[in-house]
Amino acid sequence: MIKELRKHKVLFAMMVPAVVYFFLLCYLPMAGTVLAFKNYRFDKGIFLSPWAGLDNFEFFFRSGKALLVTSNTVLYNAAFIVSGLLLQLAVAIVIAEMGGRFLRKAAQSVLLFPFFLSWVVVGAIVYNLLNYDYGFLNVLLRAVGLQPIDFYSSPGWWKYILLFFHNWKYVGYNSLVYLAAIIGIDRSLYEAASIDGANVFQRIRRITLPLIVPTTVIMVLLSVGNIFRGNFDLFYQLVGSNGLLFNATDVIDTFVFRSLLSSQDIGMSAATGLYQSVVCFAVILATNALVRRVQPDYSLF
Amino acid sequence: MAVNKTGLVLLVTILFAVLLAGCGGSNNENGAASSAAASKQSASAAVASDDAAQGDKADTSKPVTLKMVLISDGAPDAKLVYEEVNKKLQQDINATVDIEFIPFADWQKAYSLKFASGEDFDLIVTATWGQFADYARKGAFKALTPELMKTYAPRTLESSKQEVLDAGTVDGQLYALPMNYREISVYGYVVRGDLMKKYGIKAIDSLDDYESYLKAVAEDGSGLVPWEATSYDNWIIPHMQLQELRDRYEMGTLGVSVDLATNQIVDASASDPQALALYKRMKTWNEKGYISKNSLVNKVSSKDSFVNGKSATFLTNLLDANATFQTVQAAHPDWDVRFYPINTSNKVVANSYMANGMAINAKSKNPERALMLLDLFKNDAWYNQTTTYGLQGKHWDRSADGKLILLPDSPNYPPDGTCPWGWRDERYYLTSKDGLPNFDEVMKSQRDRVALTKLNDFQPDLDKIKTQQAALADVASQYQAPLTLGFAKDVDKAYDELLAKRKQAGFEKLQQELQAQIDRYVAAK
Amino acid sequence: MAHYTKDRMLFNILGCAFIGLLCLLCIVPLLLILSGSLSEEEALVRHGFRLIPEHLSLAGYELVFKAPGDIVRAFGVSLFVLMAGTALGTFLTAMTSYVIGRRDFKYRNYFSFYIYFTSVFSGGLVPWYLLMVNYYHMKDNLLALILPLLMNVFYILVMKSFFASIPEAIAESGKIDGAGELRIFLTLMLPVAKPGLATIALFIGLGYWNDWSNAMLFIHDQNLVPLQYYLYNLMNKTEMLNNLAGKTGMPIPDIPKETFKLAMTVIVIAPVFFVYPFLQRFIVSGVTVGSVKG
Repeated sequence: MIKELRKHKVLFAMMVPAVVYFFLLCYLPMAGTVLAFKNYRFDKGIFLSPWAGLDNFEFFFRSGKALLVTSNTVLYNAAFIVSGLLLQLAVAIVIAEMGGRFLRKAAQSVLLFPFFLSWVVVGAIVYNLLNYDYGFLNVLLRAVGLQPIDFYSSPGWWKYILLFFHNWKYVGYNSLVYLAAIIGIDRSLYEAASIDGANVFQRIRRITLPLIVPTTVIMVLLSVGNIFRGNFDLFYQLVGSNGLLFNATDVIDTFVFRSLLSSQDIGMSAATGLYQSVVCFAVILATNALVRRVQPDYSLF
Repeated sequence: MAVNKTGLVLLVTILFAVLLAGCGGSNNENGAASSAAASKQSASAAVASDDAAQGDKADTSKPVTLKMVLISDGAPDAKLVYEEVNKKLQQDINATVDIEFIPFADWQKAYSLKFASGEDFDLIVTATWGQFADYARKGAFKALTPELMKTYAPRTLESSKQEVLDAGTVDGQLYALPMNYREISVYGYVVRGDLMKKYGIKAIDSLDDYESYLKAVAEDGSGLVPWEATSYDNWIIPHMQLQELRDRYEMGTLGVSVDLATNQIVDASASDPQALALYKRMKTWNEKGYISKNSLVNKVSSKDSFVNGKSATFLTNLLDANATFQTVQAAHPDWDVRFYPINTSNKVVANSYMANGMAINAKSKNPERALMLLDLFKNDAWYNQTTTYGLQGKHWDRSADGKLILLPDSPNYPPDGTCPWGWRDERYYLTSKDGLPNFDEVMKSQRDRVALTKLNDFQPDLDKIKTQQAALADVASQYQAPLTLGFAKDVDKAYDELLAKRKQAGFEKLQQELQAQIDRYVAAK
Repeated sequence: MAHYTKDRMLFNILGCAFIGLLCLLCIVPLLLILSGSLSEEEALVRHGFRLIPEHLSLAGYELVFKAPGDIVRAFGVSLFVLMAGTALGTFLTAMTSYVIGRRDFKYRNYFSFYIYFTSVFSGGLVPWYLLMVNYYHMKDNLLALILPLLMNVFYILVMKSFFASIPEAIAESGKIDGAGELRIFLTLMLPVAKPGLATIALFIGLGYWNDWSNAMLFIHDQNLVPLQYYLYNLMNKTEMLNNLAGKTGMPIPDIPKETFKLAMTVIVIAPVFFVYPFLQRFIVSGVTVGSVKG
C-alpha cells in the first residue's frame, strides 16, 4: 500500500477531488438509509426517531402488487436496454460512416431534439397523437375508413407505445456515446482493411463492433445496475392517473408515488428506495462478476 | 472476486464510519438543540413569571424578524403589501415578517422537507388537507399552552369559540390556531344559461335534469363537447349520489364516510345499490358521448376547456364557480354562466375549522412573537383584510352594502390568492359584488341545512393504519376512477373487483381502527 | 473515397433510409410544437396540435416578451451555471476516469467501486436535503445548482472507456520523455481524448441546461432562478400566469396558457440548436491517433 502510494502519489492526488465529492454528496447522506427502519418524527430527527422494525416495508409487500410492479419494472427496463442498444449502435455506426458533413451534422441535431422536450411536453404530444376525438392517428384511421382506436382504454397497446417513446427520446442522446467511441478508433485500421479489400459491412463487423465492445459493455452494465428503478416521468406523464392502464404500465416508482401521495410518509418511501437499491446491487454484483470472468478489462470494478 | 470482497469490506467500514460520524454529529446537534430549548424554556418561564408580575404583558423590547411559510405561487404585489404590513407590525409588536411561498406544484414534498430538515422558520400554514394532525403528532408544531395563549394571543382566546380551538387540538394539546370561519364546500354544476334557454331546460335540480342538458348538447351537433371531465370532476361525481340518499359525513382524505345519526362508518366493502346505480348511469353517459372519452387523461383542465368554449359544463365548488363566472362575464357575457348545487335537500356538513389554520414551528426561535403576530392577523380588521385582499383603495374597496369590489390592480394581489386562509375570520371575510347572481341564495340555503356532528373536528390517528391507507389510495386510483367516469365495460364486474381489492387492501382493519377511535372520541365529547 | 463501390451504395441507401425515418419521427413533434406555439389559444384547446396553425397568432410569444426582465435574468443564471459547471465538471470527470482507467494503477478497482456504488445506493431525498441545507448552507446559493450535477458515475465510466481505447504507447512515450503524471494527463491524454471530452461536456452541459429540480429545492430568491425552473413554474402554475396577466394588463381569460407553454419550450430549445453545431465539430470530426491520416 505504502509502496503503491509512493509510486503513484500523483495519481492518488488526482483522485482526491472525486473521493471527497462522492463522500460529501453521496456517502454521508447514505446514513439516512436508517429512515427505512424508523418511525420518523420531525422533532427527533433521523437518528433519534423511534425504530419501526420492518413496518415501513409492509405496505409494499402486502399491497399484493409488489410482484406485478417489480416484474413490470424489470421487463420494461430490459426491453429498453435491448432495443435501445440496437438502435443506438445502428444510428452511431450509420452516422459515423455517412458521407457529407452537413448531412451528418443535421441528422445528429435532429435526432438529439426529442431529448430536450420535458416529459410533460412529450405527454402532451402523445395525447394529441392518440386521443380518441381528434388525435392524429385516429383522424388518420377515420380518413382511411378504419375504426378509430381508443388507446387510452386499451392496455395492450401501451407496451409498444412506451417502448417507442422511450427510444425516441433517448436514441440521439445515447448514440453520442457510441459515436464518440467510433470516432476515437484509429483511422489507420480502416485504411488497412480497405487495402485488404474489405467492404463496408465487413469493416463494421471486424473493426468497429469489436472496438466499441468496452463502451457497449459499460453502457449495458450501467443500465442493468438500475433495472429495478422505473423512469418515473416517462410512465407518469404518458399514462398519468389513468387506472385502466395500470396493470400494464405500473412500475415501482409510479405505484409508490400514488400510494404515498397523500400521506407523504418519509419512512415508507425510504423503505421502497432501499428495496430497489438492494436488489439492484445484487443484480449488478452478479452481472459484473460474470463480465469479470469473461473479460476482466470490461468489468465496472 | 477477491477485489469485490475487499471492496465490500472497505465499503462497510466506510459506511460504518459515516454512520458513526452521522450519529455523533446529530447527537451533538440534538443535544445542543435540546439544551438550547431547555435554556429557552427556562428563559420563557422567566419571561412568563415576569409577565405574571407585570400582569400578562408580553416583552417586545427586542426587534425580531419572523419567517412565515405559505403555500401559494405568490403575487406580483405581495412584497408591496407586506411592506405596509411590516411598517405597522414594527410599531405594534416590534417585529417584521418575511414570507416564503411554497409553490403549489409538488407542495407536499417541499412542505415535508421544511420540517424534516429542521429549517429555521417560525410560522407555517397547516390544514386537514395537509395532514395537520399527522404533523402535530410527529412533533412538527409547537404546542400552544394555555399560558402562552393567555399571554400572547388574548384576543384570539376571546374571539374564538371553544369548538374552534378544539379543532386545532390533537391528543389534548393545542397545536394550531384554526381559522375562525365555518367553511362549507358547495359542489355543483356549472352550465351555460344560453344553451339551457336554447334547449328549453329551466333549472338543473337533479341528476335527470343534468342528463337532459348533456343529452341536448351532445345531440345538437354544434361540435361542443358536453363535458370534458378531469380529476376534480371525478372527485365530485360521488357527491351526486348524496342527492338520493343519506346524511353522511365524509372524511375526505381517507375515502370513508360516517353515518350522521349513528356515528358508524359506512362499510364501503359491502355492495351499495346507490353507488352501483350511479356508476351505471355514468357508463351510459360515457357510451353516449356525454362525457369525453379522454376524461381520464385530459391534459387541459375541465374549467379551461369550458372557459375556452370547448365544452358545455363542468363540476366544481361554489367559490371556483364564482371566479369562473367573473372570468367569462368579461369575454362572453352572452353565455350566461350559471351554478346549480348538487345537494338541494339533504343535510350539509360543514368542514372542520381546521380546513385552514396556522401553526408555529416546533423549532421556532421566537414562538412568542409569532403568536402575537397571529393574534393580530386574526383579530385586527386591517391586518386581516390587507393580507387577504391587498391594499384598500389600490387592490380592492368596500361597496356601500359592505361587499368586496375589485379594483384594476387586483390581479396583482388576487383576493385570497396568497394563502391568508389560515387566519380567515367570519368578521372580516367579504363576499364579492360582481359574482354569481345566486351566490348568496345558494350559500344561505346550504347554511340553513347545516347539520352538527361531533366528528367535525375529529383528527384520526393514522399511524397504525398507514399501510392500509397507502394501499387503499392506490386501489382508489386504479379501480375507482374508471368506474366513476363510466369507463368500466362491465360495471357489475368492475364494482365487485373494486370491493374485492379494497378488502384485500385492508379496508376492514382501517374501518375497525377508525371506528374505535371515533367511538372513543364521541364518548369523550 | 471518390467512387462508390457496390457495398457502399447499399450501405448508403439502407443507412439513409434508416436515419431519414428516425429524423422524420423526431422532426414532426418539433413542427407540432412550433406550429402550436404560433397558434391561437382557442383553436389549440379545441382541436389540439396541428402541423400548420389554423390561425396564426404570436400571442404566446408576446406574453413571454412583455415581461422580458425575468427571462433575461433567468437565462443569465442558467448560462453561468452551465459554463462554470461544465468546465469544472468535464475536467474533474476526465481526471478521475483517467486514473481509474490506468491499468498499472493497483487500486483502480477500489476507486471504481467506490464511485459506482453511489449510483446504486442513495440515502434518499431527506438526508441529502438536510446535509445540503443545514451543513453545506446551499439555500439560495448558486453552488446548489452546480454541485449536484458536477460529477456523475455514468460520465466517469464512459470517459474511462474512452481512455481505455487510447493506445498506451502515448503515455509511455511521455514517460520516456520524462514528463510527470500530471503533465502526461494534461498535455498528452486530454488532447487525444477530445471526442470523448466533447461528448462528456455536451452531456454535462445538457444536464445543467435541463435541470430544474435542484432549483425547486434550493432556490427561493427570484434573482437566482434558472431558465428551466422558470419554465417549469410557468408550465405548472396557472396561478402564476394570472399574475403575469396582471403585470401585462391583460384580462385573465385571454391568457394563452397552452400556446404560452409551447412558446416557452421553443425558447428553451432554441439556444441549444444554435450552440450545438459548434460543439459537434469536436464530436463528429474526431481526432487521428498515430501518424497515418485518414
